[in-house]
Amino acid sequence: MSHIVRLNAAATRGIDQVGAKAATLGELAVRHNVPDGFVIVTDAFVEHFERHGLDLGDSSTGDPGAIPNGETLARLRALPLDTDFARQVQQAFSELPSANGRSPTCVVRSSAVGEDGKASSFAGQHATYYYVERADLEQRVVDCWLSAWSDEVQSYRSQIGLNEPVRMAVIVQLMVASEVSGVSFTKDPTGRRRDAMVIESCWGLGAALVDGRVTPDCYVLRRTTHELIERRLGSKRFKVAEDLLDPVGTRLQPVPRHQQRTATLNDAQLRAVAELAAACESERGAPQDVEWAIANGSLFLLQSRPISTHTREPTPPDGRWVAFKPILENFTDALTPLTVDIVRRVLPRFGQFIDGRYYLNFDSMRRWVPLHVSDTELVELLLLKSERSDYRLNWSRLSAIVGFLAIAYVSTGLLWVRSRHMPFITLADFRKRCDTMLANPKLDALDTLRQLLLGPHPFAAASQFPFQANISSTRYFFLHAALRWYLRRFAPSFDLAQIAPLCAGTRDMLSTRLIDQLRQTALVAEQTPAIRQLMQSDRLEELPNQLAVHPAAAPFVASFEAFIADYGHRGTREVELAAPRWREDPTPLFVMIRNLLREGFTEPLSVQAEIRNSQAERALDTALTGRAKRFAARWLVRRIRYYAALRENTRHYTMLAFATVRAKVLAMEQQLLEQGALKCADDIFYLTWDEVSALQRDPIPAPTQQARIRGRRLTHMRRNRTQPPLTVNVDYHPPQRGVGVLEGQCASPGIAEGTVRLVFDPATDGEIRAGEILVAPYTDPAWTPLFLGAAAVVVETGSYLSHAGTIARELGIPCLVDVDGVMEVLRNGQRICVDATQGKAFLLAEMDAGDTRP
Amino acid sequence: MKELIAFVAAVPVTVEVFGALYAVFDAWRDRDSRSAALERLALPLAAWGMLWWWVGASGWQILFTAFAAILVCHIAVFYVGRWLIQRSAIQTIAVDTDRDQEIL
Repeated sequence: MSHIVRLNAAATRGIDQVGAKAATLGELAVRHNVPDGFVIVTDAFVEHFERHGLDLGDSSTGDPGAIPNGETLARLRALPLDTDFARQVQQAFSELPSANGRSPTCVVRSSAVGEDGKASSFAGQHATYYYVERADLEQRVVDCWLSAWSDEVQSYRSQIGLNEPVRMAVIVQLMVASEVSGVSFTKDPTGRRRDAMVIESCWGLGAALVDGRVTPDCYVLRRTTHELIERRLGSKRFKVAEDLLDPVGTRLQPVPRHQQRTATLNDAQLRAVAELAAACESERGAPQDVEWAIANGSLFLLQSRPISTHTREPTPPDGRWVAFKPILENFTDALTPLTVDIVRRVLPRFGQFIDGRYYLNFDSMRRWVPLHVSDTELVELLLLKSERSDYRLNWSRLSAIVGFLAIAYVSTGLLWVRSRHMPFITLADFRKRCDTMLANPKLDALDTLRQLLLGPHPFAAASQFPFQANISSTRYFFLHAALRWYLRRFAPSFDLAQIAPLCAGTRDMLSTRLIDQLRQTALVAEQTPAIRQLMQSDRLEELPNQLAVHPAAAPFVASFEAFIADYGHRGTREVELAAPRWREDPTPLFVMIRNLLREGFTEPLSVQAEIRNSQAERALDTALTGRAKRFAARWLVRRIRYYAALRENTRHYTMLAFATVRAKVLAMEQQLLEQGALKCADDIFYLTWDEVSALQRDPIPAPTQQARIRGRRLTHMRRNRTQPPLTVNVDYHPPQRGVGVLEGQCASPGIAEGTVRLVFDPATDGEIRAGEILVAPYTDPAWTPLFLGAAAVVVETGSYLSHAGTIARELGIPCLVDVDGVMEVLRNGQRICVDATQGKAFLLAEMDAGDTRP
Repeated sequence: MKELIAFVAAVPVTVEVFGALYAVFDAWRDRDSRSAALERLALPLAAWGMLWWWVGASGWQILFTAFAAILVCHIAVFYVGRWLIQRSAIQTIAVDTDRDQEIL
């Protein structure tokens, strides 16, 4: 019998001969637009390798066969196909239809027995070859077979306990030069939303997505109606080119910036992709993971397999761990391995990184918290969720803490005292130090971070210790609690909601200066009609080039460059070394300036805050009787304002240290790319520090390096799709939220009603209109300008101390933080009422049905 | 006994005096902050003077010892901290639950 079968007849040969992937594809090819092709059955695989003396085992006796070593694999690769069989392959290839009279190119893919089952998925682990021409076809078939014994596949087989002999069929299909590719999961693979279908897409071939090279666009639709629930644009910085003009050149190409931020699918395409996936599920009778591609306006089905439910049971870490809210805000996304490895080397062992996120040691925290609390209460304290104030003091622990603080005061008190009145202007000196470090080629990234965070010498100016000063600014929290107590005790008529405006109005705060300076730059743009016009472009990433040659652009460029000089090191996810900064990619700033131009200008932020501040101070003076009491209250307010600014400003310069380290890492990456030690930009962030150091010493990558990088990329992407656990090995169950009501913590009091605007990433999705309610997963200074137009802010994570709260209080807009699941519950366009004072947000549509309104 | 009490009191006063002195240097480059930094010296210096007055002129050794102790602690904490942070035994570890091992 022939060892080759047409794809649409593959199922007739049985799964043992063609593998489940080819059999399924063959069945689907009858009803759907599947690229034409043929399948080389497993008998060919067996005959080829047995002829060359390889023990392939026997499933009937449970013998898995031999695993060839590297030397044997090299020998096998050099052996040709049997002459008769090679002729059959060439014949089958010649029967494929040609396009435009040119010889077709094809894709060579695996279809191993047991490859795509409910319990396993070898997606991307067996080799796939694109744009294979007739002359290379036989060698690629052999290469595809040999990939069954790659280190990566062997590791996966042992992980899932697959002990069957290897049998692999090979699919040879016409190449689809796709403009857009993607994967559809007919059921949410993370299991978070039962009624959801997830579609991920990227530019070019789907290999970039399957290999974890790009953060794809992600669309979440209702399974039943295909209504769009959520659209999250990915960065899509790279693509596997749809056409390889240079066959030996790199497959991975940078995506033009305007395309990075453009949705890959329009509504009609999205609907077609969803319908195709639903049809596959209906025909296969189980939730499917469907690969597809769009080329020349046609939608092709490339693969459909059951959604793999088997994931290796993670090994739980030893000990009990808990997230600490002020730190959690910085780690909403898992950090990349290199970032984790560098940062963990400058942190003492108070906690532990687990899967890219930082956790505190729960048992240590139990010893340090001087209260009689249960495990659940302690978790809620550390997550800043507890509003109780009647905990019983544990005096023995308290005395131990006082003793420790006394020792700390003696040993580190000088910096503690100095940070009480640090002139903020001197912090700018830290920038010079960063520049000096950056210019020093002898310092690597890790040494740079160590030196920048620890200070140059014990007698250096306080401005050289922004990290330590940032920690000492937590006095803000205690002073704030003291002020609340004081006002309750001595000014009962004072509205405590007025504490927020009372403590706002800090002119020295760099985060508010950032907004004012951006506003100033937008004003310059407003005064130049030509710049206003350019700002309306859909391709804002091309703006720098346009501005460079525009005769009227000089004032705007000067203003913008001044902004970048001060704030260019900032951006989203600033602790993450892999995240680009505004200096590298200023497009989000242009989007924010366009927002300002569209929505009009208000008074500068600092002026607005000071007006509210004066009103609150007058109310305070009225509520307090006696000069001494007023003096004490005003002293507390001044101190709170100082520490609020200290916290924001020292963070600003701590992030400058991280930006400097990123610049060092990028320089190392460039060198390794030039030496061929790395294949692709960004790969470096998926190595550990020791692996990078080893590559610098010897720029010959280990054979398993690419597989390791790919595995870590995929794991990283998967982790960012799921909510991290708040605790590890601690029995904690967060309280259930009420239906129709979102509950959180008040970070800035007030009530506002408006339309929901979900923003997942200001770098890709930064448009917000006046009166909309900004709903975000977290915020950092890169989000700040979005606050300007918002009627209120609702944040999934965060606390009173977080950036969102600080800026919202300066702006005087309601802000609700720590609202669990808000990004999943709300949808763009819904009307909600945010009553931040009560810590609640109400879905108005559900209130109309009878729910209570605030 | 008086010497012991004086020493215990001198330690925090020294931290405050030293810190306030340091803060003057920190503020010196900012013209607007100088006078305020100098003013903030007054209280700790007054406390220092009161302590010296209480312990007597011959008690300078106690105050000097407190001063030296704070200085040594400050320098030692900086360098010992820098040395310690390079020791892997006290660095934070990172675990990857998917890979059954520490990343590092």
